[in-house]
Amino acid sequence: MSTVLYRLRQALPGFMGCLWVAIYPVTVQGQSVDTTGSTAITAQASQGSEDALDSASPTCGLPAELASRLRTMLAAGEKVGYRGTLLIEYGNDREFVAVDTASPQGPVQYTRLNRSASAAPQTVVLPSYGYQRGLCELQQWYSFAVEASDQVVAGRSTWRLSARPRDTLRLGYLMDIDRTSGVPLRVVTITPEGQILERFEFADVALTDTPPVAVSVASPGRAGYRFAGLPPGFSLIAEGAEPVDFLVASDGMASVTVFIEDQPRALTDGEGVVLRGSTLAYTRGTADNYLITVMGEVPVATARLLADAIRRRVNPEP
Amino acid sequence: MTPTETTAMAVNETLREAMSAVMDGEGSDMDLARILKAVESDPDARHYWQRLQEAQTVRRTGRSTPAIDVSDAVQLALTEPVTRRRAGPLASLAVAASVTLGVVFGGQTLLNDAGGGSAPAVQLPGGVVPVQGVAPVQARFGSNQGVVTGRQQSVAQPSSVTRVYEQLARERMQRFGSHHAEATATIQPNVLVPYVRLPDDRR
Repeated sequence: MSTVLYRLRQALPGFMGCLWVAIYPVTVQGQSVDTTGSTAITAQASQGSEDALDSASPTCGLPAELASRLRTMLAAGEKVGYRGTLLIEYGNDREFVAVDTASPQGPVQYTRLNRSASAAPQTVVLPSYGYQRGLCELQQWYSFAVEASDQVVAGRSTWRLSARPRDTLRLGYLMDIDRTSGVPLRVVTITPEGQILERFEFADVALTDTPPVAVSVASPGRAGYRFAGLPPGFSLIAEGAEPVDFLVASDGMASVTVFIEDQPRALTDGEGVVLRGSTLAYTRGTADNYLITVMGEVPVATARLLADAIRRRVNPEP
Repeated sequence: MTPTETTAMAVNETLREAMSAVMDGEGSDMDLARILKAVESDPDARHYWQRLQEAQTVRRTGRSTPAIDVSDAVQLALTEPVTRRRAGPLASLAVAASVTLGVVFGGQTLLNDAGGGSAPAVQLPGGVVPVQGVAPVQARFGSNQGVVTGRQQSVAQPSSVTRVYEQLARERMQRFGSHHAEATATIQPNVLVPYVRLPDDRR
């Protein structure tokens, strides 16, 4: 066991190593679970089908089998649709939601099942900014591993993925991923300190080959502000000026939208944060009399960095 | 010498000055770039930056920063409903001990209710106030309540300015939540979950 802990400490940088080592000796359904299984699976995978891997799909330093599974997972959203019932929990809140992304050319819909006996479906438009997530980039900021635990979720066989942040600027995820399609059927979001922010999972699901339709967005405009810099791994993926100036950034898993507006009233400098599930809203008033709100699935330290980096464009016109 | 002092010594003076300037809102683009690069590659710099964040929150909000009480039921969270998690007291002790050793960074104490009501306070990294009716799960072993979603703490009341900004943040989550969901849905693990998280007026 000590050898395993040592290896993990070597594999994870700094205190994250300490933290995750502290986290993983836990009990699952009466069974002792440590990281031995994860390490074994990862090592086994690394000896697997490396030779057979398509040379056009680099493994990014990951075991070939894991890289292949991750690519399938990352692409699933564009290839697979689903209908079913989703359970989402955060804190004391828990609700069931009927979801449907599988209607051919139809709208993506969800219905909150615990709010009203005859709740109408909510229709959603999915914009696409053409942002492509790269596994090699993701791997720089998250440590991926297959956990030694197979679960059945909504009647489907899954494999368990842990995506551990390599720093404290992003959240971690544990996912049970459908073996056939790559769709995450159960996801737990965890802070860098190990606190569970949110969990969602399908209670029942039917997967189809009809993916949700995302509407291409050419350009929603140009914001009057810019990032002077971005936290490691994040890149700007969109910006616009409606309803207020906004900038969207992502590291491929975590995503944030920064809204900038004039101060609604005279206020001294300050900041405030609220949280809903894994989404936080961090609002800061500045001496320049504008209000910055960072909304996203990131720790508050990252939100602060992003707010720090906002600068007014000298010439906002393109 | 405290761990913080040790960390501060390991961070060069230029970087410390840059961090202080940024925290005071007086940093330049170069300062910011220097910090971003340092927190990416240098654990000491990352730790020192985290400490500055804590200090700033205490200064701005008047809230204390106790040691984080982090235990973890991550695996368990995947397999049991949040209201039913249990584990033996030995597991609790082991996790608590390891966390005490392992977690010396980050985190600021947060209050749940900007209005000063009786809602439980919760701990989250970085000073987060859950919106009403919503609290993060604080996984913990050995409790009769299973997972603790919040707890009372003896902390200073937030300043009136902080309360105002928390209310502004709450209003903006309501106002801009759908825009954020639209902009980021295709990046998230499930395209509909960002919408489900949106505050609902009908509650």
